[in-house]
Amino acid sequence: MQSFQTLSNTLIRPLINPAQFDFWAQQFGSTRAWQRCFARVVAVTPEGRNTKTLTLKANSNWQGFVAGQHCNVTAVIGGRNISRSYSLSSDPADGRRLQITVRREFGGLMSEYLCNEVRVGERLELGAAFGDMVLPARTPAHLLLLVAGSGITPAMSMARTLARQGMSSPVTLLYWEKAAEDFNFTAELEAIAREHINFNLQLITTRRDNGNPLHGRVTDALLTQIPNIDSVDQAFTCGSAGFVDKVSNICSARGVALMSEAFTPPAQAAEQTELAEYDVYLRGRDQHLRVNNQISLLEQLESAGVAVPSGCRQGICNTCVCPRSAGTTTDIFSGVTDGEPGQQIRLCVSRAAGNLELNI
Amino acid sequence: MTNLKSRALSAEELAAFGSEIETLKQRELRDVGAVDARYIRRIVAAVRYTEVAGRGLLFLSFIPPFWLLGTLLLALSKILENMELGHNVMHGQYDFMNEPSLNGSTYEWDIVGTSDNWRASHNHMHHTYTNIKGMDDDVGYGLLRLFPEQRWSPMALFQTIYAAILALLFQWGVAIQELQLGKVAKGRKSWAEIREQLKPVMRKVNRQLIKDYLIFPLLAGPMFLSVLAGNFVANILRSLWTFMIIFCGHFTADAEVFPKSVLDNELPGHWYLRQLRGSSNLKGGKLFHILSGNLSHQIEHHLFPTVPARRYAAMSVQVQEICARYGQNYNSDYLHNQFGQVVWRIIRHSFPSSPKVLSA
Repeated sequence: MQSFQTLSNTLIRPLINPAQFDFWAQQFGSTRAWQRCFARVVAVTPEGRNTKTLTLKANSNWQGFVAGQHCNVTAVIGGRNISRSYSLSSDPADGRRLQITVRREFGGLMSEYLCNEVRVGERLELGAAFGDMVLPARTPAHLLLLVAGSGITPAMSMARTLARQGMSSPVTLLYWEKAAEDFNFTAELEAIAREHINFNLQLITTRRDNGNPLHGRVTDALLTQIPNIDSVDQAFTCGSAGFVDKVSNICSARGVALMSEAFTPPAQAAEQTELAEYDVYLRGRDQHLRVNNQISLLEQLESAGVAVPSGCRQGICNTCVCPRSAGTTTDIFSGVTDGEPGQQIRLCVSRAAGNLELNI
Repeated sequence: MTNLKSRALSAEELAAFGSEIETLKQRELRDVGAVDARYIRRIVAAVRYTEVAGRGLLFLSFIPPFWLLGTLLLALSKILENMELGHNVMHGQYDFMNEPSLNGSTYEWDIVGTSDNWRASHNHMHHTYTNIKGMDDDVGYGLLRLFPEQRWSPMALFQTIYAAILALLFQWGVAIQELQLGKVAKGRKSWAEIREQLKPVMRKVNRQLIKDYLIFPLLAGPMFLSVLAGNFVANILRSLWTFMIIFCGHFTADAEVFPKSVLDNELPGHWYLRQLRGSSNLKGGKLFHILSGNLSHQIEHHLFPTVPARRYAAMSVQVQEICARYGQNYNSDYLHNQFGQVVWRIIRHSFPSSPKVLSA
């Protein structure tokens, strides 16, 4: 076996270049790839207002996920690979058939693309699933899900999973939207509620709406109207940062264990050229640094003792290039500020324009 | 470093010249996007299809014309991959795409030299210190005396022969360039260091040799020798072509070489001026430019190494206009003229020569 592996490493591997393999697979209309995980869009279905569900068929490199996790989805938009994280809304038991549910944000490059332009048959790329807000192995005595807006997507995956498993203990889903027409998955959620006596579904509008018994923002008073709320031993929440903040205050006052996930608002590009300090997180080294917005990142990393390969130090040789996983930087020469996650940047001609995460 | 065809610039003129070139670069970079992405993907497709067609025809080379056609197609594929794809991708010209297979810092090309060594000796040293004697190892590749400013030794008498060998085996020259074997001869480097540096090079060499001279010939069965010969000739053709294009880039009659002292108290804009004066262009049609990896626009490539090379032709019009206004020679001619000058340099400076002293 060992010798076979040596043989294949010396004889077979030189022949196969992953990029070549992927190229020919694509030419023959397949999503197969040597290492990368590509997925075909097999259906696009409208949900609530401005929201669509994309059903994807991933290639065999997909490693699976746990209900509640998300993954990076990459699409080619204007010649660039653009990545955003989306929660998977489908049941993990569906294998390589996955769903993401995308709400259109006006002016949002990726969500506009996925909601308006993506067509059945198109190829997207998926990253490995990640996220800690997942269903525990042992089902809680009474699980409470509090979600707002797009926060429904991980909860939907959980509800589908629990429904398939028979919903043996009480699960309460409190789902907020602005107005009645914004709700997603209503037909399926109501079907689960009809089938499973343990599933208590509450659709709540923040605005006063006719026909909806519950309305208003999340408060402790509102929670007291929910049946059996005092038996809850585990809560999950997902929504905007403000919503999650309120929920965590309420839960800690009630002494309920809570796992939460908040959407991070899109990083705002810093316009000012006044001195400002930001945090840089170096992912590979698991290290945080303070940097200012005046001097190149390369110089500041070096003076902090971080060894970065560098060459010309003037934006020519591409030696100090590294992926910026999050945050915005300004190009020193052009003054252009960019915040595309995963974009390769040259550290010697980049300045921080906000908190950053670099893949070093 | 003074050339009679270019006038000397004052410090103010130099700074203005540099900023005009920089402005041109920023304007072009703002326009980079989907068109460039589509272009490089088409180049990738051309590389892949010509390779498969070439190797396929070589497998069928019992029909005599197929051997010649297959060899030429394979050489074409290798030239395209080397020049328009590999070289330009490794400069980070397509990093804006965020596409892992076209990432400048990880791309591995199809020659015996490793991409990592190339990124160091070429992207960094050669592009930052272009034609500075003692800094840019490309000035004669530590082997040839091309400028009267280089010290003459009796070794140089036979350099026409070395040059011919280098032309035939150019990819091997590139592979060992970074090892700087000349330093060992002078006692400035130990064999132990060489052995260490040789490890990754040998891995790459093995990979290339096994692929072209073992696996593909074996796959061809009875056509073993015919495929082996075709691969050998294709590699030689690529070496000859790349040698010719690259030598025309910096060693024509009017190309200038600079002493290290230019780096002391370097004036703003001087880097741009050196790129212009140390480089020379080749005139030709669109296909010629693509096959040369647009290094036929060597001047533009040196001024704008991170701008996608397909844009050089259009940019050269503006560069020439700027050069005319500042009274700078724009060194451009057809391949036979430029290469004739290179050959003349190799022959002339194999004999003792001294720099021309300019009379005021």
